Amino acid sequence: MAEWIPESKKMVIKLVYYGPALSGKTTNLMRLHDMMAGDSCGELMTFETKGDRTLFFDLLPLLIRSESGFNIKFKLYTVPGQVAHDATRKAVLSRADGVVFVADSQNSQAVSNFESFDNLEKNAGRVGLDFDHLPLVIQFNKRDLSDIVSETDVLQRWQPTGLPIIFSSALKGQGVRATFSCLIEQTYHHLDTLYGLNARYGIRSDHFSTVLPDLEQP
Amino acid sequence: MTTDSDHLHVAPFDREYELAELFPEPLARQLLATIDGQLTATILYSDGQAYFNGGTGKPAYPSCIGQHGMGPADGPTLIVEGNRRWAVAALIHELEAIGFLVLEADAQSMAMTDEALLCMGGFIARVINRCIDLNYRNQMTAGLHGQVVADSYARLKAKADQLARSEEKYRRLAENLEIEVKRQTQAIEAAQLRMLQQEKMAAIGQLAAGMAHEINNPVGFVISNLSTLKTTTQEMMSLIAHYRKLAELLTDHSTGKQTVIQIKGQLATIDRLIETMDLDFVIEDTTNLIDESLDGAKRVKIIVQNLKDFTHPSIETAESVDFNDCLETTLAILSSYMTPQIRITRLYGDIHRVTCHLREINQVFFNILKNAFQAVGDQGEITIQTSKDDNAVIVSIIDTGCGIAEKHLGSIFDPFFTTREVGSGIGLGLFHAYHTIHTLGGSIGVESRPGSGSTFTIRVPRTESARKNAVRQAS
Repeated sequence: MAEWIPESKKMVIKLVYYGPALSGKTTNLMRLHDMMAGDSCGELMTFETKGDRTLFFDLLPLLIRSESGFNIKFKLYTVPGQVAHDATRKAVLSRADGVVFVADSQNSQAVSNFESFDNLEKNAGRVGLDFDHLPLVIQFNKRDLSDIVSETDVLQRWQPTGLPIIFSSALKGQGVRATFSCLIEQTYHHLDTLYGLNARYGIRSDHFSTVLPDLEQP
Repeated sequence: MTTDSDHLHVAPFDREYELAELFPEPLARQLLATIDGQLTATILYSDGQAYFNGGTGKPAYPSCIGQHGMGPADGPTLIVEGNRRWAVAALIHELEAIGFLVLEADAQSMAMTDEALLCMGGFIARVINRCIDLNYRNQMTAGLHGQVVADSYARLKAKADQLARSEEKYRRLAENLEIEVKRQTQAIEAAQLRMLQQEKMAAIGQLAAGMAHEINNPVGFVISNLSTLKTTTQEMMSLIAHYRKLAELLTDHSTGKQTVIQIKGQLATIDRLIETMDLDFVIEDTTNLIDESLDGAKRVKIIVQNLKDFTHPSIETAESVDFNDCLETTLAILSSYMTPQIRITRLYGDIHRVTCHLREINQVFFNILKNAFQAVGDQGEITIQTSKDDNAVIVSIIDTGCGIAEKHLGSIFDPFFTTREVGSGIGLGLFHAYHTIHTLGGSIGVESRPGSGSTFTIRVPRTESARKNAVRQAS
């Protein structure tokens, strides 16, 4: 849950990019970082990697200030996708306020996607997250590749879950902002329900939205 | 010793870190205690409270700091109060100022320009920020590592506990298992022994049935002959009685005419009796009956002799045995299977005698020959051939019977394998044969084609030493 310190007018919100190995979680953060204005966006902190693979996590801090004077910090994490790093994934997922599930659209990755989603659900349970009410956005990444699952098939399969689905090509910057925007919106509503952000502290949805970069890159 | 809770309560790696964690006081002292003798550095919290004092004792920072907040993006600022000058720079962590560096130039030394002071302040703040960044990374990765280790430890411990429990369970099970297996093995061995015994009993039973048939026939006609002889003997005795009476009359001197009449009468009676009993035939037949009965009794005697040879009691002692004799004895025992349409061809070679248990080897031949008879049924051919080579005696029993299905060839020597109906054999016959021949260091093999018959070939080494070698090689 969010670190929520009303006395010092500070709120820290943890958002996690989850998904199978090499599905583009880190690329999402890199593109977001590129789009962000300098004063609300910190450095993208990446840790040791092995090839293109995340070993620990990536961290992108974003900071905004509400009209009512609250400092709201968003900390965007990625998890290591490889199966072996499950304990790390669990620790990173712990206390998340919102999750983006980055799926790999390639036909060959269908099984990995399902396994990873299953793993997300399991780990959410293990770290005490209420998976049914956790703000969650599904992103189908790598739409620029050729051998991919069609949008119709994706929607057919995932729409029944009621989760928002975004198609993206993180490498080309497409859909990255939309995904993040969707997550911010969901997370706001969830936290508003929990803490009465608007009613008690005057933090509105559009305050949250100021964290979004201005325009999606073409 | 550590407890589980020591491992499980690791502070979350993703918490908000304090200035004291990111720029520890000892590090501040090490870096800032002495800069160049003219500069004094102080670190303040973001609210203006002192965190690290340069050590001069006097308030080393201007009172205004912290009261009007300084933005994180602001560069170093120069503050002048009286003859004191400070360069103030924010310490930034994740876009927020978590403290300030306050650098005061020695009032006595006017050598340092304001610009140099600002420059120095900016430089030192950058160094500290870099330290903060590195410490932040260090703390997060260390914290995450701790969490992962704690988690893995907890999982491993749970697994280890579970393994220990199941190991304990299996160990106990294994102990019991050993006892159980021993018990079961004994039970099976006892059962097998019983079965073997039963098979032997069954064989003896079959043997007895065959024998009964063989003995019944001669005994039947001996009895019939004897009762005929009994009747004729009674008639003869009556005839003799009459002759005696005639003799008395002839030798009685006190008689007269009446005696002559009596003699005539007696002679007439004797003549009638001779006619009635057909004495000529009786005399001839009696000889025949006695000869026949003697013959029957001799046959019974031979059968009993064969039986005695076959079930020779000397099972404990090996003796010198001629396989040709054994085969003959066994054939005689199996004569109840014989029909006129079965042709037995004996190709007995000049073979060595073999030292073995007579009864056992007879049992082997019995089992194989009985199978041959059963295979040919009412008509066919059974060839029994014996021969020798340098080391061994070879017995082949060839039948023109029904043969053995290919799928059964591999199992016919297995214990309890039988294709016969329940009740007509429990499948130990060939197993017994195999076992016996192997004990003798020999081998027993079979070739068969369904529909055209089977050939069983038995090889038994001639001498004791050859046999021992063979057994050793086999094992």
